[in-house]
Amino acid sequence: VVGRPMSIDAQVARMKSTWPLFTAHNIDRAQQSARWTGHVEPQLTRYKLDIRYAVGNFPEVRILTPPLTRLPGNAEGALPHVYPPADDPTLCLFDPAADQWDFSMAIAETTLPWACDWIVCYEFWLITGVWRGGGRHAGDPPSPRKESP
Amino acid sequence: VTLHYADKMHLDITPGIRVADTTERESCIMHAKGPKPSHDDRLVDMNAYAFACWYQERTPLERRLAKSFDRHWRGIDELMAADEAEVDDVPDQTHFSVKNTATLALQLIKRFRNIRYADYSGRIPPSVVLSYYAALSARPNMRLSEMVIRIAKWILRDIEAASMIGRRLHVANPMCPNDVFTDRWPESVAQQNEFATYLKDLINGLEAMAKMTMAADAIGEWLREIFGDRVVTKAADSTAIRLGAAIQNTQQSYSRKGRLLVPGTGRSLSAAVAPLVAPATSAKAHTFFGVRF
Repeated sequence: VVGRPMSIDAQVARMKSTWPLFTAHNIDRAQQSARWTGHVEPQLTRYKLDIRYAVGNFPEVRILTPPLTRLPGNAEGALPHVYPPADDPTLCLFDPAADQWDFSMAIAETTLPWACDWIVCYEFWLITGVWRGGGRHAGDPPSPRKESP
Repeated sequence: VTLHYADKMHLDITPGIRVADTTERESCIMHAKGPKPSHDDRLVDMNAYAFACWYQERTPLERRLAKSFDRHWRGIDELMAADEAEVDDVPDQTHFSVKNTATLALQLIKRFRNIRYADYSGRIPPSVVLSYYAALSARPNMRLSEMVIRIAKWILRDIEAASMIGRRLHVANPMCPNDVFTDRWPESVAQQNEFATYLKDLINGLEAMAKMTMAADAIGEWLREIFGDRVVTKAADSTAIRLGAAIQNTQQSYSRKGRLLVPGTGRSLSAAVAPLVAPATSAKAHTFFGVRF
């Protein structure tokens, strides 16, 4: 069951209260879109994130700094769990086939912490060569559905 | 007598003669290489017992750290020797027990020393000197990386002060001034300067990590170089498995600065204790997707 879509004003307000160090840009009430930038430091390194969202589309998350490192020949690919293009990848944080995200959900409580999850797994992938965060790539069979607690 | 263990550890045992009318357990040990008598043979003052007491007094139990590590290493903590005996049993080999940050930092500095001097045939900075600085600089409830930096800086400061006036580092047992810990190392100013250079590398690397400006792969390579490939790879693998499972089971959360919080874990390679901050959000289940390229 998909709830009522969250307005862009509600998303901006939730982001401001939950992630006060993130800044909202380009808030467009007509288009119901906005962009946020800010830093997170989940584990080893500080990252600048860029989140773009328009109600009706999936959020797009980019890591602006530092540049993402590729591991050519790795079993998970040179850079796992992202969407192309290769020179401007966006993080792929949920499985569209598993109904894990819809427009009623707050980016502050889903997209942004999921991006932090991605970074934690990415950092250990760089160190160990193994992606330990689970997930699947396009073409792999869907994983069993998991409910939120 | 030197006992050699199968795992290449060794234990030196020497009889001590108690010195009358001195502090508890002050003794003399025989300094003689043997088997023939030499003009260098002599009795040397020592009081390892008083030093151990001094160390324990300066590095008291830190409950939060101890509890955190106790989850990882259970069935430990019987290292206190019987205090009624003149001869203390050497504790059985046990799981690694951590009572405070200074002692954990000391273990890391000793490991760093062992790796740096692995191919070295001469004398190396003695553990007792490193222990002295760990206890001297100990402050409770510091982050592990900060404690390692602090100990390294205190050693470095004294080496640089000695080198500046062309002297060798002098460290004695604070409970027995004639028990000189630096009687065999350093043998020269150049030898202590070499260790100072290694310490600077350690400090610079840890400070860069603390600033969070090093890339994760560079951190991995640096840690392997400093603390050894096998142990760092093993620690990174087990931490990655634990955090990956926490993420998949939605046990993680993040602070308002986007700092990972996972209940009940030594959180990362850079910090032994998770910061006590309120989470910004609770975890919601999700599955990574995307393409391989």
